[in-house]
Amino acid sequence: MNNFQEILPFLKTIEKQRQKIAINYVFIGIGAFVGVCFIISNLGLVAQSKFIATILGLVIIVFATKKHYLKNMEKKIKAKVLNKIIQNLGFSWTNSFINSNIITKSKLFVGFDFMSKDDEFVALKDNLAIAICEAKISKNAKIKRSNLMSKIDTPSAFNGVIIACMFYDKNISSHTILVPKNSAQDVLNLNKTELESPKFNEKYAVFTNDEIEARVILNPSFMEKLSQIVNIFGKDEAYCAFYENIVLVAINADKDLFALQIKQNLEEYKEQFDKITLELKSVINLIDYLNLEKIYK
Amino acid sequence: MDGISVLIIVLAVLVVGIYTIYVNLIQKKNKALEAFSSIDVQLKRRYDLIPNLLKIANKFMNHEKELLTKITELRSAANAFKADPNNAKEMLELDKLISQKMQELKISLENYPELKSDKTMLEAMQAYDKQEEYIAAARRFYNAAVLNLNNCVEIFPSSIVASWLKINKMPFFEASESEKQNINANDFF
Repeated sequence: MNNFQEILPFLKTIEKQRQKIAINYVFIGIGAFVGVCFIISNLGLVAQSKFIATILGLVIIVFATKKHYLKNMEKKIKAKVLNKIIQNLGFSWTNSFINSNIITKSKLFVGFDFMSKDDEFVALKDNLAIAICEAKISKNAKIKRSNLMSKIDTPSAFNGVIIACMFYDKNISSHTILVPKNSAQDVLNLNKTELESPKFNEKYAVFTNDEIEARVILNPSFMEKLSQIVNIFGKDEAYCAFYENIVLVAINADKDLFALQIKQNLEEYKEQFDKITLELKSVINLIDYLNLEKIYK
Repeated sequence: MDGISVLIIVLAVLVVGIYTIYVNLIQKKNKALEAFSSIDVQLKRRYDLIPNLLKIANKFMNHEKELLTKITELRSAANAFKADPNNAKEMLELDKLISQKMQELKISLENYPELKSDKTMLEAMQAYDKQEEYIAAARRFYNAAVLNLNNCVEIFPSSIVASWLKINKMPFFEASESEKQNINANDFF
């Protein structure tokens, strides 16, 4: 059975609930309007204004609860649908090995001091582990405390998805990173190098401690394939790091990539489903697609 | 400001300018030498893989003795070659010859299916192909470094400083004629 077909009954139930909520709130809205019109026509001016203010307040509360219901529905959809997608692709929804230590060692984001993660998935293959997480990386984190809660207020250095592949039994001796040119800054112990393609050099800055291995990895075929993977996520730039037994690819994203929204029909649900499946499949195939296994020895 | 002060300032600017050009030239020259040396390292690694390949091929390829002998001779010559920027052109020519002959060997493999599917041969060829990628990367690094150096040597005013320091252009690595030719499917079938 097609994976989408398996969750179709669940989505149909959600769709019925959504329609029911929508109809209920339409009736509430009409009822409130009629009630207001009837009552204010029988009250004096002062009482009218007090009553209207009260009714408006109640209407705001009622629609806020609608938003709350819909948010809960979105969470249910995400829990069910995303879980199905990741399980079928061999991922599990669990804490990954992507952490501050990995990011620091990669040297992709120099001087960052705060990292927060959202959805994380891990897949274990024959000779490597693949992890995906949504992460926000910040510099100069300032912690504001109020009476009720503390809040991290930071200028963001990166907000998007990080994909990490960790080989069990392979390594490279060099360290190479690739960053978008507009966010490039000098990196300790890595030299800036320029590759042969002017178009590539306009977009990216490369830092490495091994000119040859950097060129073995960042050949024209690799760059073409990387841009195809990045386009699948709706972007055109990425950060990459190749060091020790790790490959890191980080792609900026303005929104929650794995959020599943409530849609008006099943076709739109299927589009979301297919999009996320494609994104995750492209990640699984990253190592083969980028032909990195033969470089890590 | 009197004439002497102006002269001193002009001289100072000139000295600083010449020194900057000098430093730049030396850096580019050293980069090109580093790149040349890295090609040599990668080539030596490839030459080290060749005897193993030939040993396996020798068992099966009875009709290719001439080719195998030629490759052995070229390899010995390349190994004996002392890599030096002054004989960069000869070194690269010799390497092109070896690449050509190895390409002929790969094509000849098609006539020996037993050899082609032999596990040790497959592993040897994979190791060789992987090394070819490193050589290609080393060549690209070398060409990029040589381009920067040659630009400095040819373009005014660094050309003047280069001639004082006797820093000359270095040759680019160019693909051999066989590498430039389109692959002919008949060679494989």
